[in-house]
Amino acid sequence: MSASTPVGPDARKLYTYQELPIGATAVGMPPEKRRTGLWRYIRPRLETRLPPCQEACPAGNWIQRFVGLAGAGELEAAVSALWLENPFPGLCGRVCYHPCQESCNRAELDGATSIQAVERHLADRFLGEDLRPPVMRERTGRRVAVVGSGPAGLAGAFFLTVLGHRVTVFEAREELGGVPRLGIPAYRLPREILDREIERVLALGVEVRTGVRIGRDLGLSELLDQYEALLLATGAWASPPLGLPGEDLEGVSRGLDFLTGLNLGETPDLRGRVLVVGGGNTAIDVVRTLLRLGAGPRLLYRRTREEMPAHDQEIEEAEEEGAALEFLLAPKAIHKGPGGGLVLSCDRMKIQGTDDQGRARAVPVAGEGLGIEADRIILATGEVPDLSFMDGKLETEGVCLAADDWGRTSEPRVFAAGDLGGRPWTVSRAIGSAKRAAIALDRFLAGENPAELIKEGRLARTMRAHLGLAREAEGDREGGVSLTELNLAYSSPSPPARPRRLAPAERKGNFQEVDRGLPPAEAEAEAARCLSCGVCRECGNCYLFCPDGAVQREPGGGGYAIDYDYCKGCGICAAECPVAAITMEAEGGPELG
Amino acid sequence: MLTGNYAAAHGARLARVEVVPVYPITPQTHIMEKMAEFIDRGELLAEFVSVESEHSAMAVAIAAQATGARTFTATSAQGLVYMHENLFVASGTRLPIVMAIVNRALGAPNTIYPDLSDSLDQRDTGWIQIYVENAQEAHDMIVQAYRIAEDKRVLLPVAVCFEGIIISHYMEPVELLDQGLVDGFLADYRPEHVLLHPDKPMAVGQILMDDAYYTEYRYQQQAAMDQALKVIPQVDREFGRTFGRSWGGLFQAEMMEGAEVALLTLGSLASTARDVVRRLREEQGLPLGLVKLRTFRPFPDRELRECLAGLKAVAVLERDASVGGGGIVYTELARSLFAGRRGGPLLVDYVLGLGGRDVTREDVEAIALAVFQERDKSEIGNPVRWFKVRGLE
Repeated sequence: MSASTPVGPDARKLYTYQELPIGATAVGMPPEKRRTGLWRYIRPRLETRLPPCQEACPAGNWIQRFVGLAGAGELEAAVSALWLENPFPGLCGRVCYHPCQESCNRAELDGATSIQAVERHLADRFLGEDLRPPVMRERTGRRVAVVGSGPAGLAGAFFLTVLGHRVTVFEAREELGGVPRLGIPAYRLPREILDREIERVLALGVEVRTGVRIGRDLGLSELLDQYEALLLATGAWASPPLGLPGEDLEGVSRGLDFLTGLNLGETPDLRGRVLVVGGGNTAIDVVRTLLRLGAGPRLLYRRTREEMPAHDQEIEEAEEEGAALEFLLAPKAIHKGPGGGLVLSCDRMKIQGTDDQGRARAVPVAGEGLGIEADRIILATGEVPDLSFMDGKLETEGVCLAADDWGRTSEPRVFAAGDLGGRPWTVSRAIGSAKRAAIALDRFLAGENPAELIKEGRLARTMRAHLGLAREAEGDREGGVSLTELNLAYSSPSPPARPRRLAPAERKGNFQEVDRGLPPAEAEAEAARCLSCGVCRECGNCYLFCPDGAVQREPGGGGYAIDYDYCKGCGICAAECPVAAITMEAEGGPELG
Repeated sequence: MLTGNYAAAHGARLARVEVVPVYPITPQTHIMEKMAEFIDRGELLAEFVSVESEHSAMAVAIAAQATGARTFTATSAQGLVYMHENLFVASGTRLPIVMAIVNRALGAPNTIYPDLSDSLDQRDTGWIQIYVENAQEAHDMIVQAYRIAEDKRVLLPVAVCFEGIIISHYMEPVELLDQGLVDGFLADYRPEHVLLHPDKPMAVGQILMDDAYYTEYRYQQQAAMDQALKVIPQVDREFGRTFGRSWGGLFQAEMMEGAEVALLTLGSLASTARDVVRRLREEQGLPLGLVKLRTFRPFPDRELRECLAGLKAVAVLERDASVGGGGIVYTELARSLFAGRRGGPLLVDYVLGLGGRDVTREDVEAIALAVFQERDKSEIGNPVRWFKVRGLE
């Protein structure tokens, strides 16, 4: 405000009632000297908080940003924000189990925002177009080897390349892509999506060497000699013995092997009765694949449907396709049957209490064993990382390599990402872990000590934070924004759009994609349902409602600023903020509850 | 044929009000609806502001008027008392807002029927209060109110008050004023004292520390009220010259020739009382007169004292009560008649018609005759009489 002259008479004199200005207008003191902000004992703070979707996203996606931009129709900016944090949106838009949506505040209101459908729409809409990362650092010439070309390995290569480093990816097989190519059935992930997204990562200048298995064709120590740092992302492919008598008999195979063989073009022998044992996503993938190939498998699981670790939607779709799921049956041994077939001896189980991890405990019902005859038994009970290539050079933790949240191993130059370095074994966690490892590796190559950065809370977890693209440090407070913090008066109820699915009858005998996402217009409308929890969307409420005109627009856009000379701390801005991006805190003290 | 509510709304339309912040409450809501309709149809170029309460309605009215816009609002009963705090701000900042108060008895117990306690209760807020008798007067006085409020000698907000249901909801013949004549009668509002403008910053309603000038500012309001006593009759006369109809200014004294006893009332009761007084004069030759009080703030102390000085008795008929203290008008009138001098007419108060209870000609006649009987008495017991209370003799 510019200086103004006092509008009243001279304050140093005494005036009669006739002489005073009518309406008790200002006498003597210009308005800008009346710093009413001095009355304040609580103050509003404009901030960017952590939306629960982003808190939950294992990949570290900039969800609020890309969904918000998509909802505003700014699709190019949206896909750019998406790709900054995730080079595989077409993959995640299909196979991620979207913990973002489970934590979406809108879920408690009228249904979570279908974030995955928005992600997928953006990915598919720009599938044919060349994407450039919003930032591409100057080349540093530092050489990094990435071992493994699954989502973790390729995402690591992507982030490291964006950060300026020269990356070579080593892949033991001839095909790039890891589990998404060899494990995930095509009805969940059309291969052209994967091909295209890998192609785009490589186009940034990533060198690839396929058919080179570390530990066989090239030693780990040789790699360490040739490269400044390593990112190990070899996944979890080993199938250790289960200790089940008869598991080596002919006709008994492992779930991931079955899927891999099929994806490599082998024709499985499916004659006769097929049993699938297990309750995870691999087991469901195997059952649904078998159904498509014309077999009639029975799936046996030791607990109940409720406890199945497979994702609910996968189980539901399997049931739609006619999968026979049998519960409370635990395999004990496999024998040769009298007719040349196999017999799986099972215990009939019952649920009794919980185990020390809080899961329902299945215990055998005495005297209720049974034998199930089969010609083929597929054990889909989980794989583990193969750590043999490391020659014991690195410390391990359980079945995994010992690695912290940023993938740091016992060797400072070696980082780990994906299934190798920890659970859960999902594509989105693989991408997120690769990103954190790439960020730590970047700081390491710059001569900094990641351990100290972590201790000081200065090691970023996302590319936007690492590159300084987010306006403000996100989540500078613990925990995401909850529904009760939002002012819902500014949002109207609207049910979520329902992503399309192929009808069960049309899925028979083919590997056509089952989940079809949303039509473009619906996806963009769905994006507009986002409540923008904790992130200002420049609605103008604080500016319009402030009784003191103390909220001002930043010149040239970019949000608002509070003029604390005049803010009296009434809190109306915080109350009227739809997105809980204004917090009241004690003047010079802690935040108020 | 118009209801009092619609007649008042038409008055505001003809005054070309520019901002209309209103919160609905029965029996006022028709005013709000009609204003919204005028604006929606393009018959009035104004901003209708939907608010979440009467307190906010008055806050918006204050802000709008402070920018130089002519502002109109309306309310009743609980809505009015909810506005109470902001009424002081409007008068203290000397903003000539006009408000229609459609009188409704205050709860509890709740009713939508009238008495005048809701607006009389606001007597200390610094607002000019004018009470009208019918829809036509409501219509005319909204226009007059702007002329009074905006007069440079006055610059105070004005409330035009009329009884809910009885005036607000029943239809009467109303002659609408001519827009061209109203435009000539009301100049544009061009404030000089309070005018918020970004190019000319001004602090309004400032805080005064210690004793500073609070006393002087309050006296400024009193002085403005004193001026209003002159301005109100002037405006009414000017109105009469322009439109051929006037209402008596501060109060209308009727049939006072030779009167020994006067009935003093306000609002719609004046119509009933006029009829009774006329008949009693014509048929029985009783020396009765009528005073229809119109302006309650400023209270025309001197003018009423002069008018009533020679009477033997004055009976106040009022549809309100200050519980524990008798009728509110009676209390005020007692000051007029007895303050600063000795003697004067016998003063009797009838509290009646509360919550919209019908007051018939027979009721008024009984009162008139009773007070006439008492006119020469020197001792009459309790002069405050709750009329026709069941169980009370």
